[in-house]
Amino acid sequence: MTKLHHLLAAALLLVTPALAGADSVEEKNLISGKAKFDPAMGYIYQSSPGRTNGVFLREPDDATRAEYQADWDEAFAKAQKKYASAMKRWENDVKLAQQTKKKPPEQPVEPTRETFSIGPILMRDMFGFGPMYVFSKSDTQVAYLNAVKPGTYIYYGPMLYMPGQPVGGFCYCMGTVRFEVKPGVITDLGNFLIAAAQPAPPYDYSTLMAMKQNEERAAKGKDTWVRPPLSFGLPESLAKYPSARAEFQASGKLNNFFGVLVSRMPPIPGVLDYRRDTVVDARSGAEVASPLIVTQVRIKK
Amino acid sequence: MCLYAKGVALKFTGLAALAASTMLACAPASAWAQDTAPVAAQTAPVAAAALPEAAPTASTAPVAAEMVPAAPAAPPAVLGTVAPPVYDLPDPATLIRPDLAFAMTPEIESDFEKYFYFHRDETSFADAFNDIRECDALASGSNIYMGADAGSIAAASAQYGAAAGAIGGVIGSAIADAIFGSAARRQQRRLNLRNCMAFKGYQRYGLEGDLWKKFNFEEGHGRKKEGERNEALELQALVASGPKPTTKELGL
Repeated sequence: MTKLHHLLAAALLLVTPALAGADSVEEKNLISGKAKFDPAMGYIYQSSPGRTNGVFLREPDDATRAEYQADWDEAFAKAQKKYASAMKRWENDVKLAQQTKKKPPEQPVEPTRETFSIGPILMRDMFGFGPMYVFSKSDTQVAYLNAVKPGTYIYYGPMLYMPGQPVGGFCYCMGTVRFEVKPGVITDLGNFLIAAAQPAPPYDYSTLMAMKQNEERAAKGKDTWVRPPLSFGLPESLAKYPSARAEFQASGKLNNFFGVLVSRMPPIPGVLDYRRDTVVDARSGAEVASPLIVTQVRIKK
Repeated sequence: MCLYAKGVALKFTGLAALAASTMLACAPASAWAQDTAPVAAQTAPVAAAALPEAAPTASTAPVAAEMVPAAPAAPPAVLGTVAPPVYDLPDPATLIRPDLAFAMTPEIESDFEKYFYFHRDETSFADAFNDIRECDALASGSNIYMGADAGSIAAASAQYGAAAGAIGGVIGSAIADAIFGSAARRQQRRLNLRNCMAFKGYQRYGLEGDLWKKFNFEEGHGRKKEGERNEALELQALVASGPKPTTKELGL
């Protein structure tokens, strides 16, 4: 084992606890009864030829909005209280500055309903899957099963998300897919997220680089990267539970909440297409609405 | 890009390769800051033409427009929507078009990865500004560390995210920020702009560094003042919607 391999192994060990997702289900635990199928939860099953990772955002429903509203109200009240205290301090500091003929400090900014935020509501029920805590794995396939709040989920992109840890990867901020997860049902994504898209020009930078690397490998007579054929289907261990194949729909742009690389899910026949940067529902040809994209960075006046 | 290697294992050949391959990224300080402090994310400038139909509900907590998901059949935003202030675009005739003329040298050409501008035929000034503003918003606040080869990192992340991302989490914030931070952020911002503008159908053209600096800016750890940024974005839009450049198209 090289020094680098030792470093890799040590790093993975250090990270492991942070990767422990409460929502991931392991096949062995389901079979042994340690994990129970909860009919109130929704389940997302997906597979790929190797370990993978990604992030899903959950579209806020009425309950999420109500919770968000309550949290916002509480946080706003606190911010107003803080502002009142800060103003008192500032007034005293101004008096002091006048007496000592120094530059007065900057006046605190009052939080207003228009500018106060507690963060994007879309991130409230988000979750990351993989690369650890697989449902099952074999030489040819790694599967993930996540118990989630039922609702509509948006694939945010192949990112590695661990609460409180750095985030890496890239977001499909400029177009992606969504699907519904019903309670008590295993929604089968198969390997759709890695196999369904068919890159077409204009490519993004990473796609171009990957294509270039593929050509270089081919020129050297090495194995090249190939996209696996699209497949669905649950393993025997999940056969007794209600399940449904995910029905994917085109989904509009998203903000770059994590400040990662920006891209979009390549076109998917019958699901997702683009007219320039406009996201299009490939079934109907209709444009998919996108929100106003704004910076996530604090504005510097 | 999601491709799989048949029987191909990702190999790292050194610490540099490791750093370059690990999608090292800091948690988005700005995003988390919003949980505890007022953030003026909604104050991003936007041309009037780009404003969505706002549905403000005064009696409820405002949610920035960017927080409302795009859904074909989305329910009404019960929390209300804060419309960003309208950005008054100047009359393009009042702007001074940046000088784009320079004598090409191999040295200048070698810097085209850093110094470039965009152009799209038959595009209005307002449309160009909205496009540039959107890409700028997506590209600003880069938190990732990319090392030398962004493409391989992104591809590796998609395919072999396990080791790459995990290690990034361990050593990323501790080491990489100090070493690669600002430069890597600037590099990522450039790549994000290129991806975004390419999706919008813009071509990229190279420019001499000093000319570029007159109407562009770079952002590493910090953010430029808003007025300075807006003036630059206006000029970039003027160029993007102006006469077609006669220099070589660089592609993505």
